[in-house]
Amino acid sequence: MNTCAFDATLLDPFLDGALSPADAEPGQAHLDSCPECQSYVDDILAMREYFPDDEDVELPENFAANIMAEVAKAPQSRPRKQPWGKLAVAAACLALIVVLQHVNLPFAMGGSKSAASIAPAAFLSDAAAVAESEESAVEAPAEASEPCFPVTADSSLEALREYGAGENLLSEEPDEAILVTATEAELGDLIVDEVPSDIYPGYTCYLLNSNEPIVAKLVERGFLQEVPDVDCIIRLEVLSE
Amino acid sequence: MIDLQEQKWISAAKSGDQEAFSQLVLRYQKKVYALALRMCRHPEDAEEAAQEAFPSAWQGLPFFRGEAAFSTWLYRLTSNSCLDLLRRENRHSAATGPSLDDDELSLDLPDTAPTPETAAEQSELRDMIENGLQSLSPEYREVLVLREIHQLSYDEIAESLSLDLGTVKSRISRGRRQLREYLQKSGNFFPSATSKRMEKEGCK
Repeated sequence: MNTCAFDATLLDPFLDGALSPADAEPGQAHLDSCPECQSYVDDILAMREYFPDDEDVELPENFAANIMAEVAKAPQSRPRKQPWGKLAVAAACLALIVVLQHVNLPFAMGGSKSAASIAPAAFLSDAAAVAESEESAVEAPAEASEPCFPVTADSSLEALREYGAGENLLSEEPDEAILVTATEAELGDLIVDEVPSDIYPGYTCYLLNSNEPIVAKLVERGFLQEVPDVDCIIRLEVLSE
Repeated sequence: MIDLQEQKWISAAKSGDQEAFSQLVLRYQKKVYALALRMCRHPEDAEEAAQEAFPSAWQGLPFFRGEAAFSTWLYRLTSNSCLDLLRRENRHSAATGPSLDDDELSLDLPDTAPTPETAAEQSELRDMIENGLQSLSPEYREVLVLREIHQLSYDEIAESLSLDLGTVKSRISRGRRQLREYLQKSGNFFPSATSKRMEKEGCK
């Protein structure tokens, strides 16, 4: 038991070089005059001398190979990869329906083509890409060019980046996800406590319910115009710096 | 210092490159196994813990943001695996009391060409440390192993174990005092260690 009046909690940081020179100096002066603390320091240094070295251990046979065999059995599937695949299929179907509506509308209404129907070619292309990539998305991490959640006609990641902060894509469909894109720097500490639903090279996705506190903060910061209806899902995509 | 090669491996492994991850395994296998061995004591338990920690790292890499060093993150996963394993199988009992089992650890000596007598003495002192470590609670043991064997700073240990700095300081201090007490009670450690140290210093 150390009965010395010296602050014993400083002895270990002193021994470990964790004290500033200003703090270490009085510690050294004290040690020179206190046999009790000197004895403690000597004992700790003796213990340190005979602590085993991590290089001394002998690895089990085929250690790394066995680990890599386990790694091969555990592909880097994201926690919500499968739902994402299902979402992609659903979104592709939805896209097809919307395109068909665009195609039919002029005939049904007897009017000229609306501006909104200009997109079908790109839209079909994206929808097809989503459908085609659905299988491979489960197996391999998404490439940067992988289509994002297709809530709009231009749903590639490149297109989403162009929207920038402060713009959101409010959907006309009541059950559709609202897409918000922003950079990490723009959000700051807003997303620190949020659990991502998917992480892809270049961006991270968060699925949020409209009643979550972070949604109100997104409105405050101008990423959303207003807090959406209760049933709405907000898909927040955070672009890596 | 930032290791650019390691950063490349990490970046590639995050994108699913198993070859890059295998390079990280090769680099850290001994450190991870050494930590697991001191935490769990038994080689088979240590191997099991390491076999959990590395695949966990692989799977979690997409979530690794690089705010802490890769090594400290890996030590955290290893430490968690060990504690889980100890809890799961209630293997704390293995750590109670000295148990000199020379077959369990293969500890070579760092000094060159020791005489058989010196080697035996040093091996005995190391065994005493090993047994003393096993007498500690896992919480004290892990901070001492990270400090003395892996030579992490207090800040790095705090990061590795998700502890605040004050807790790290306190655990190191208490762990050392308990280990010292164990060694004092178990007999010849300090006179032998001191004389061996003096011999070494006298040779310089």
